[in-house]
Amino acid sequence: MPSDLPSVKAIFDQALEIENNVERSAYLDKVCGGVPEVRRRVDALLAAYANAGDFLEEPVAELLPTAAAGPASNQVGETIGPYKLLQQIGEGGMGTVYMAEQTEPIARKVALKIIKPGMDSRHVIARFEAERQALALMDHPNIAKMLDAGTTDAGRPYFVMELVKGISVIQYCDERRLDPRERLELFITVCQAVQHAHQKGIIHRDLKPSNVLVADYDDRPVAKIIDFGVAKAVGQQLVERTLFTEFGQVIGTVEYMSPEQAKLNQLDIDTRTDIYSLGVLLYELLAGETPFDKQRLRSAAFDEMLRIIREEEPVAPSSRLSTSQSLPSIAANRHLEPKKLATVVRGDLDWIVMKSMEKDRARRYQTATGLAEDLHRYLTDQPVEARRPTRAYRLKKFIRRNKLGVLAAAAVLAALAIGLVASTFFAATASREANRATAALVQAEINGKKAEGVNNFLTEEVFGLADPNHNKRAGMALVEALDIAAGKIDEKFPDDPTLRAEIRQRFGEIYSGIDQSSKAVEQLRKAVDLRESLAGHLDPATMKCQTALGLALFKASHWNESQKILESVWANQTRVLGAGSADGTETACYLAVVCLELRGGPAAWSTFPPENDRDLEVSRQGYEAALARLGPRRVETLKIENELGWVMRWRGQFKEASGYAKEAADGLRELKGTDDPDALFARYNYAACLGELKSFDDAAAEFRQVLAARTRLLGPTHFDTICTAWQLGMALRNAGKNDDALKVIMQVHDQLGEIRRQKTPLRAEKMLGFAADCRDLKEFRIGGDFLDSAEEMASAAPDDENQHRMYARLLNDIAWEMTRFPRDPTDFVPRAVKLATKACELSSYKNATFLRTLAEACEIAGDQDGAAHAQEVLKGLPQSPDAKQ
Amino acid sequence: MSDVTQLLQAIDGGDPRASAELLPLVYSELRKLASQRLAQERSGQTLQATALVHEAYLRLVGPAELDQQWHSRGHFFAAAAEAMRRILVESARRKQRVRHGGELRRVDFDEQLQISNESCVDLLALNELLDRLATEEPKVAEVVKLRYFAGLTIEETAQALQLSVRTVNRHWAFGRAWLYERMS
Repeated sequence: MPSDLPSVKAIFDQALEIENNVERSAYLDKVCGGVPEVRRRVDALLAAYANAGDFLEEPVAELLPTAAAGPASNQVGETIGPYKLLQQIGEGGMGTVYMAEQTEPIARKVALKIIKPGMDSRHVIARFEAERQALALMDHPNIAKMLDAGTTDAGRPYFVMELVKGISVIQYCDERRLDPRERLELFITVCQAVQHAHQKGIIHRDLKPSNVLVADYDDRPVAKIIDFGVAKAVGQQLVERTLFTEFGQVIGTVEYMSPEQAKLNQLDIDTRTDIYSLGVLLYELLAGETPFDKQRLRSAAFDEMLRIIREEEPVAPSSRLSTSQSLPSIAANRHLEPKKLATVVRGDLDWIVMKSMEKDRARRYQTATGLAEDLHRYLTDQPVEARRPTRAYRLKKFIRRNKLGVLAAAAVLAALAIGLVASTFFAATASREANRATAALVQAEINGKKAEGVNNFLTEEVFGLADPNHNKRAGMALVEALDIAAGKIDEKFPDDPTLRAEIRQRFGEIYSGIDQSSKAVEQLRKAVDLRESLAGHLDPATMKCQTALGLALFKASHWNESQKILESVWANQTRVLGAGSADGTETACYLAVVCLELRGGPAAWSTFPPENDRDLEVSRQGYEAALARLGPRRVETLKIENELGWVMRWRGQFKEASGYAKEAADGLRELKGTDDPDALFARYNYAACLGELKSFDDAAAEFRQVLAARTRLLGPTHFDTICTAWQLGMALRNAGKNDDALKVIMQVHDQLGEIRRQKTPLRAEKMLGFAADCRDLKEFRIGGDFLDSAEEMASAAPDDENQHRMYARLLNDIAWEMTRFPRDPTDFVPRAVKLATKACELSSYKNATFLRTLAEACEIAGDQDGAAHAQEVLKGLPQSPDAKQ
Repeated sequence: MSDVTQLLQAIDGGDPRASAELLPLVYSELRKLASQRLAQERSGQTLQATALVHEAYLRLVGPAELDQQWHSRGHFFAAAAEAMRRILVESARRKQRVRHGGELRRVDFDEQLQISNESCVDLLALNELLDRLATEEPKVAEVVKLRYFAGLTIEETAQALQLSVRTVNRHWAFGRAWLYERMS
């Protein structure tokens, strides 16, 4: 290369200046002369420049997304694990199905379904593994066995199933021209298979004709349901996503989707979802068409389609038949005269189908057997249940109406059991029905009064009532009653240390539940001491009590001690009870939270190394152990799964986090109901994940639900309610709905009078966060009020020495935020100086950050001397001020 | 005057050790800010990397010096851009490790687009290329870092690097073309 040749960069620069192509080309010819290599480089760069679009023009936005997937298709002849693909036998919204040959450990043919790209294989497999045991327990002639699952080399999940030779149930019935009775008989066997699965805890979630295959065995039609476990493992999101191609065309099957599945974020799927799908299938078997017109559903916009499924009442099958233009052929397929067919279906069969497809699942058949039995009644000419008004439904309503009374009665009884006269409390909460219930309960309890009985009662009933998560008003009233009662425990049970320990433990837990943390710690310390002296520290009951103490310590902000205790209990529980015990899992939940706080939360202001992975380790290990030992459908497992999701979310792994959170929210709701605090907690977590994934509308919808529930259960000023409201506000803002967001923010703002009475550093810190957000929104007046509240709520220094460092940091942060606010309408600067001074005092003028805030505040306030003094002290400090806090 | 300001002045005065001291300070402040922000559990938004950089500047240097000394501010942003790059790359690596059991794999553009409409650049690949670019055209790589990781405008970049706007424009065009060619 000639030495005087300009660099590639210089040639590129120059060439870009020449806009005319011909001239540019001439220039390049000239300057690159006989060096084709340079010319090629420059040409490539110019081409890249022309194609680059806005590449890199937007600065890097965030702390990272992603998922990876391999190439798009698999080939017949290819080998996946021990399976060789023989022939493609189907393709659906979710993936492609192959007939495959297995050679090891036994030679057989199987069906292998490869899931389409677009999701995290690890998660799919994890969910499959979670359900694997349950799937293995299914053993039914009408269910295709799920054999295996894995990941292809390209990173795609696949499922291996028993190979079923057969055609879709609809196609079979039509081809064989089965009459309605024959169809019903076949359908009943399908119901029985679904019932079997439900009993093993498996919900199909995607029942449709193509998943119910029929073939002849010994000249009799036999149905087999395939794909059990697939929809669950794949997760609803993919189902949704695969419904549509990028052109908005529907390619999956929506006709069989239940109303609860047609919510954008269905957290709430249970066995009755399958009942709905069975109803649709029955509808089609009888009427020849699905309840909602396929064409109409497919041409509707996504939202509209979901709305139809959620809200529109389909016409009864018989009416559908009588208006159908294809009636003659439909009837012919059923071996009947057109007129006769409508008559057969009208009446009982209409009722049965419509009951299966009720929008409100509480009004559907509650089990697949229920549906099958009613069909059997129809076939044997007995009156069908679908026609009768459902008594169970009314009874359930009745119980729900009276639940509060029952709980109040329980509380009173518990109070009586420890010798407390609680007439005021009683009068405040109980109604006349409760009075009657109490009388009965008291009688029952007196008859069989045992320490254990008292304890159970306190745990299950009083705790449930006193926890404000369950009942706000009763919770408030109970505090005073508890204080009095707590003072009497020794006096009342002088000879029974075990009972004393149990009662103290319950009291501790109740206090903990109503945010009386230091009282909780006091009671639980005593309970632990008692139990240790009675049964030793490795006794399961002692360990459980220690866990409760660890949690209370955490709530009282004694993070380090809390972590220490929980670590040791968890280790002991693992040693004594084995990994993944229910008790151990609960401990792991709290431990994960504490470690997370220590790493990234307010406690991180203290001493924990930021790179610590303990939170992730604990939640993951805890979850895996619980999954292995307790199985996926246990409250403990779901709770720690939610923690795992929470930890992941804080680590920025939003996609995975949201998978865990959703599954936990789903499961907890299924097991414990919509309003359960744990279920709400998981749902909150899921909503936050959605926000992180930028599905702001969905996030807002979820937060709104959680907010409604928490407002109802906890009241509008409860801390959890307020945090939820704020999250909702932010989600709305991010969704571009600023007006709605402001409305929500104003609602929180309206509650400030009540909120600012809660004077704890953690809450003050939240108000500070709100203030900062308002500053971002340029709502300085509202933000100022939050800032003001933060200051007031931080006015009481914590008693505990451990918290002083955190407290100083809080004051510093408030001061810092104050210096960021404009001096109109409220001049915060003088207060900033005061707070920064206090922070410096608390840290003996040894913290560089605080000193810097002070110097800055002084400077803005015009106090040059103060600023100079702070700088002076700052200079005198040892170096590297910010590296360690 | 803050320590960082002092360091910036020392860099200006030609003290090579000052640069080395600045980076860890800025890095730890950014990490801390990020974790605090996440910890505050506010809003559903993801962290804006460039907003963090600017907030770190306010915290470490302070608003008093905001409008002066653009070139020493430039040292700060150079350090911040580098620090942010490391944080992002670290987190990308961690994720890849978790996801693929240690095996690094390129991420398809399309796949990322499903998750985020922004920031659809393969950071790990970009990172490696940026290092290579730095050996060929160090100033160009500097410009890319300031623009992409610290979010500076062309004018700010020019001031920070004490170059003309025209030169920065040229560097930027070359850098984008050079990286785009290798990444596409």
